[in-house]
Amino acid sequence: MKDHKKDYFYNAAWLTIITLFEVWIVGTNLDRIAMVTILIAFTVTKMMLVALIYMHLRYETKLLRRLIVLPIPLALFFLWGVVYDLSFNWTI
Amino acid sequence: MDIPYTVKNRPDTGLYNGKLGVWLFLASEVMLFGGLFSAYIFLRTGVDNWPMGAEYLSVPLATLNTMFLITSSVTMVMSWASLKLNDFKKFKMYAGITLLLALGFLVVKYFEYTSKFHHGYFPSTNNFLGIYFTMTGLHVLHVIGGIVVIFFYWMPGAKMWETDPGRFTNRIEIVGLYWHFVDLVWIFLFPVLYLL
Repeated sequence: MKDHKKDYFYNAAWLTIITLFEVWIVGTNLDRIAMVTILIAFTVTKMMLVALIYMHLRYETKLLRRLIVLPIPLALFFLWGVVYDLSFNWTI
Repeated sequence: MDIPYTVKNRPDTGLYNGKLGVWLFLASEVMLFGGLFSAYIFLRTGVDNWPMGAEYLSVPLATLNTMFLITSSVTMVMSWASLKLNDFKKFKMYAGITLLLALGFLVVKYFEYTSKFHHGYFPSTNNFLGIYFTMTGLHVLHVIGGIVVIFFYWMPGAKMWETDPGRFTNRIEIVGLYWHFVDLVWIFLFPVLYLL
């Protein structure tokens, strides 16, 4: 438990650094697509840090981890489907 | 007769019932917010011009709120860790700090909202502000819900520590899971609404 305490504070430091980097990068003249890609990558990283360390998924049972992780590819597939469909500009 | 599996893990799931229940609840919450994020994607990609978040919103205030929530996640998990180490005084301290940080988040949000209203920006003004107020408003309701529950276990509900410490510790753990989820939602709202 005492080792975990250190992890919690290190994790907070990383989350803060990534957040500040997110804000900084928006102010740069980076290409729009690159910026969006980087922001999404940072957001997913932050999500993983909170879920694994603070929500203890790292230490949970295999069953729970699988139940939570398995739907993610399905959600990404759904997202891809939505974004792909948008390009057709359907009209009724 | 005692309620089974409030402290010990069930042999089939490997979890105590409360934790499994909260994870199922959080799954339903993912669907709720997932629907709103999908609506945001449709609204945003359905128009030629979508305003940048910074045109309407204050990025420094949102960054401050992000810090409040990140820090409150640390103090929340530390309050649970303190109970695991049988240190009730530290639990009270960390849970109290969590409450203060959550209230700080609400105060900043209050100033953000009143500033928008003062400038004549309402949910009906345009689609961006409509989805902004809907998503952040729902998130604020979740923060208020978290404050109510944390306050309960900080003050009147803390009596359970004397009679059933294992059960009380597990309750704080599942309150923490909810609170970290509230933090997670904000982690997505911050770049989507304020930075992009």
